[in-house]
Amino acid sequence: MTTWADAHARAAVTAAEVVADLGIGLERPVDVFSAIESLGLVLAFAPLGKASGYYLPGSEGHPAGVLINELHPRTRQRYTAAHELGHHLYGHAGETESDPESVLMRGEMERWADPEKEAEAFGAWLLMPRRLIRRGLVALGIGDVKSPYDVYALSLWLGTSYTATSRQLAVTRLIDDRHSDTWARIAPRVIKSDLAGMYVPDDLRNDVWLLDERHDREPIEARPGDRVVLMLDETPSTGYSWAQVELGSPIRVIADSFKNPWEPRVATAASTAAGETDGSAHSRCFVLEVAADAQGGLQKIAWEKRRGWITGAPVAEFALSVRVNPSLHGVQLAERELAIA
Amino acid sequence: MSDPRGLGNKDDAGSLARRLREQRAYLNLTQQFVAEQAGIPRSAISDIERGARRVDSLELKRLAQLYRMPVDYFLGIDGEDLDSADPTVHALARAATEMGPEGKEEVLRFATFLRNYERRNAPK
Repeated sequence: MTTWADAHARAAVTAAEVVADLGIGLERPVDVFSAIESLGLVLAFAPLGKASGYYLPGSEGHPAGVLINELHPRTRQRYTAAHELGHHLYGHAGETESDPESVLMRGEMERWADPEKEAEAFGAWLLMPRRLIRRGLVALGIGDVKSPYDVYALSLWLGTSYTATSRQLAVTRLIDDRHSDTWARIAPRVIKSDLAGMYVPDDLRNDVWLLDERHDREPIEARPGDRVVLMLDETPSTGYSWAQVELGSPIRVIADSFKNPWEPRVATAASTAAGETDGSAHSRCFVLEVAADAQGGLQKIAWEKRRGWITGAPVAEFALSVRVNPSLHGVQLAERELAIA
Repeated sequence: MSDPRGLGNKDDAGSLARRLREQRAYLNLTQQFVAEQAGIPRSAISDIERGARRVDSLELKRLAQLYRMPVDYFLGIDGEDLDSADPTVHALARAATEMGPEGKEEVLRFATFLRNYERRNAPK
């Protein structure tokens, strides 16, 4: 029997080889769909009911395939894709799979069959190698991971599920097993509710992005229906305030603390640093929603901080770029690869 | 004119049009590309997919070849004709007992596509 420790040890090496072979830079989240295509497999998306995905082995002259449930969120699709790629690289037979996400959350991981353990560990190491996790933590301004909110923010940056991220942080020894296990059992919807309060997405499968001035010009990859809680420093007594100057039409402001005092239930790094004492910087808090019918592409939204009655250059600017992932359907091959003539 | 394969039947013609339309969408191909590859005018592809024009058997053969599916797939009733198309696909369908009906049809469709697809160029 393969233990999880064996599976992870092997997966760390195999995933590192794939990263090296394909020249994947670990500066940003791994593009697992491109990796699958570069390795000669055909990737496809279709409605699959309750299943996450399937691996179909190739035969002589015919490529292997990875089929992903097109109705799942992108984070889950990426994880499924990496898992199925693991089956391919380890030479497993094609097989159906259970629901890894729910098993990860319940902690019933010893019951897995060996090939599933191996594929699962590979998926985790391909999407969340230690170096990439560290890069994400630096980008997010998180020193040590201290709370489930940190794990959640990291999972959004990595493009992985919250639960899988919590597990992998222990595997890579960045948090201890006890915290990992406790946090992995927290349902992401609880975290989302803490972050967005009454402005939590209608559909709790959507995500809540907590951003502040450190995220200026850092694009995020969001889905239609996601909410963004944006906290910008503002000290009312100085007369300087933030005003929106550019708005991508599929993104709209649904709450502004200037009109309705409100802030997330989570202490942010910015508010902690400011000490929250009277007269120091307070946060202006906006809640934004990516419209349900938002089309794929990059949407930009911007603010300027200035005194209302003074023209000229603003004292601060903030730009948020939201990349909306288009939904994917069918076989992902370029037309020229399907030419017969 | 007699039509032993039932292409002239109105319901079958509607099903055929739908399957051709769906398979083109499944492969993310434009009508223009399909027209060029199959040697059929683009306006005819559009009419065929709307069920406004009949497909002759030679055209259907060329479209099936481009779409990497057996001709029977486009002529068949929903989901009944893929199980026996290929022994591997048949085995896969039996193995996948836990799949819902929707999942099973999609896995069979993808497996059939892969069995009929050969890479012309080595991947990068």
